[in-house]
Amino acid sequence: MEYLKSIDDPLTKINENNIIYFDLFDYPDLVFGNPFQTDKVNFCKYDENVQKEMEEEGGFVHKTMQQFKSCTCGNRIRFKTTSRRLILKVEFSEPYYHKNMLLYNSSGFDVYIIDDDGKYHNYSLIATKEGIRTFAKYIAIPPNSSVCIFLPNYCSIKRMLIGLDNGSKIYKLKYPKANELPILFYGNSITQGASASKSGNSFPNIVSRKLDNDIINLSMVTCCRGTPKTAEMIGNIKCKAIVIDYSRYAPNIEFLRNTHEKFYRKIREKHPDIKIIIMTAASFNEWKEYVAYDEVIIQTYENAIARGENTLLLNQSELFDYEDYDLVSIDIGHYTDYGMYKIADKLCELLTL
Amino acid sequence: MDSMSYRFESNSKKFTIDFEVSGIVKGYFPHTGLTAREGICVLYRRVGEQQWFNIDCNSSLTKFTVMMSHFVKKDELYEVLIYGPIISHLSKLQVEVSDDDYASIVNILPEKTMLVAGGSNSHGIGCTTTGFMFSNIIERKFDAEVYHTTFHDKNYLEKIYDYYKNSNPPVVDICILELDYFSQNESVVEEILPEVISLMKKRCKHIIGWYTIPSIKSFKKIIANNIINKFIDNDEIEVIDMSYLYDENYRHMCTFNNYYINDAGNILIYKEIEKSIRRLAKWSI
Repeated sequence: MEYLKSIDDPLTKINENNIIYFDLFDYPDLVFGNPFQTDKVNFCKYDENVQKEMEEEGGFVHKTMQQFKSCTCGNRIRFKTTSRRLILKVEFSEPYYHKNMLLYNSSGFDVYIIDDDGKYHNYSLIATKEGIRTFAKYIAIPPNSSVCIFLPNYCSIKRMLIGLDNGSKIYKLKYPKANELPILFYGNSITQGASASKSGNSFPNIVSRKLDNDIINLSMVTCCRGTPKTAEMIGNIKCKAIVIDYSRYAPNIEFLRNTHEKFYRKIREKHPDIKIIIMTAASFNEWKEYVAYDEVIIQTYENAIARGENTLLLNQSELFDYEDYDLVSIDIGHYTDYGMYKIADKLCELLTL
Repeated sequence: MDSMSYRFESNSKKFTIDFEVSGIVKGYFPHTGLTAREGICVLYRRVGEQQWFNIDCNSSLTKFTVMMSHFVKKDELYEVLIYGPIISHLSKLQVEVSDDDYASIVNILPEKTMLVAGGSNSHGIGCTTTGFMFSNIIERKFDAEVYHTTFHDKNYLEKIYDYYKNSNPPVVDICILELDYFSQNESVVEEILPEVISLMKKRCKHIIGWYTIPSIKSFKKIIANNIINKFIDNDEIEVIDMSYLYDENYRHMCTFNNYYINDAGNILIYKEIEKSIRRLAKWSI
């Protein structure tokens, strides 16, 4: 790895002879997981209305939306290439690290090679030191590789250049036809990926690998508050299924009572038939308030079932043995990979029922 | 590194922790959490109950307050467990509760004692918080006194040998020895590993050895087994092969690469070792 002052600097440690770079932002076809792609890559997953709604919430909510609206959680770069050399040059908008998160997650690039059977094999894991904004990394890859790179869960990328052997070819790597329609995730910091050990191990990303299905991950720390404009935005995104993990950022039980079912029903109006999975709160340290939160969430589910809707419930606390509660998450509910995989396995089971 | 856990009990609805660390090792640690490196990790359980729960961890060197009223009833007695960092030294740890409330340091009765010896994996490199080191999971699940003789050093076996040869290691019920030596010089291992096992055996009732070696280095597993086979035959060591952590079904969940395991890897190592501990020592959780 080589740290840079500017992304346009020539490399001194990595051999870039006969390497041709292209600007990723000019190739939106290679980037998956953004609902508002145009002819340029747009990592911002929230429309103007939602951003305005969060601005009106003010304080920390507004600040968080500003910080994370273009963060690359759930985004993947996918391509097939004849090149045997790959150089990634990355400039973060702002480096990010957190006490409860590894750099391989918050600012990590988790690189997989996909075989002909659609199986993902982890190939390389890239992260900088704390505080580094711009870097380059060389990866040698087998010829004709199908590559999928899971992008950082808590950082935003300002610029990214991909270098390949001069004369090599690169193609968009689509999902199988039946799996092109994305599964949409809406949730909190846990669903965004904290505290997986690496960016590819948030449970939405694991689901995308296990099912080899496109996803859109609209989750964001603090801002998951079941707001009307968010429901409207989700209602307008064409998708195969929706996973709603809304609980912990409702500031109190009254707020959740007033918003949870409304939020669900507004989405359901626009998506009358698709599968919606509602998740209870991830709570593994007997935080008393979350018992009441779960009652509200389960009520939303039971009402949906009574109306005959295609809705399922994933009760997160019940999924794990009580004796494992200290192994599942690092605090109240931020899953270790052990927890992430169990949640992902259950979601895959529910999504393929 | 000696025991790295601290316990107290209280009935206070909140407490404040003030801590400082020194001697922080700077370096490239994208695979190890900030709090594991230079912070603390806090858990609680209700007095009389076995199950621990994670509260939070912290790395900033400022006081922080834990509101226990979120978890326990008024005046309910609870126990708090604090783990220190792995590559820095906890130079100050103070807990404050209100004058009207009760608080007392809890010392583990040395009824169950263990020593964990090994390299980077046993040292906790790869963990988000120190609460996920397999040795610390064993410590809290068994309520055992666990000593650490671990080194973030690929030649850790020589250091363990030095420790056993020249220091005064504690006498314990069980030693848990990392045999995952694939980054070490083979001839050194061939000479030293039998010595370490022999010295260790003089200071404990049972030795549990474990390793997790990726298939691309499977020849190392053969060498390890050749060295320790006579000890296995004489029931002097029980060996657990955890190499499946690098198999296709587990490597995504449990490892970063061919060198380091993560929290999930530590959890699975704990689950395997726990079975051996229970069988050998007849301890229950």
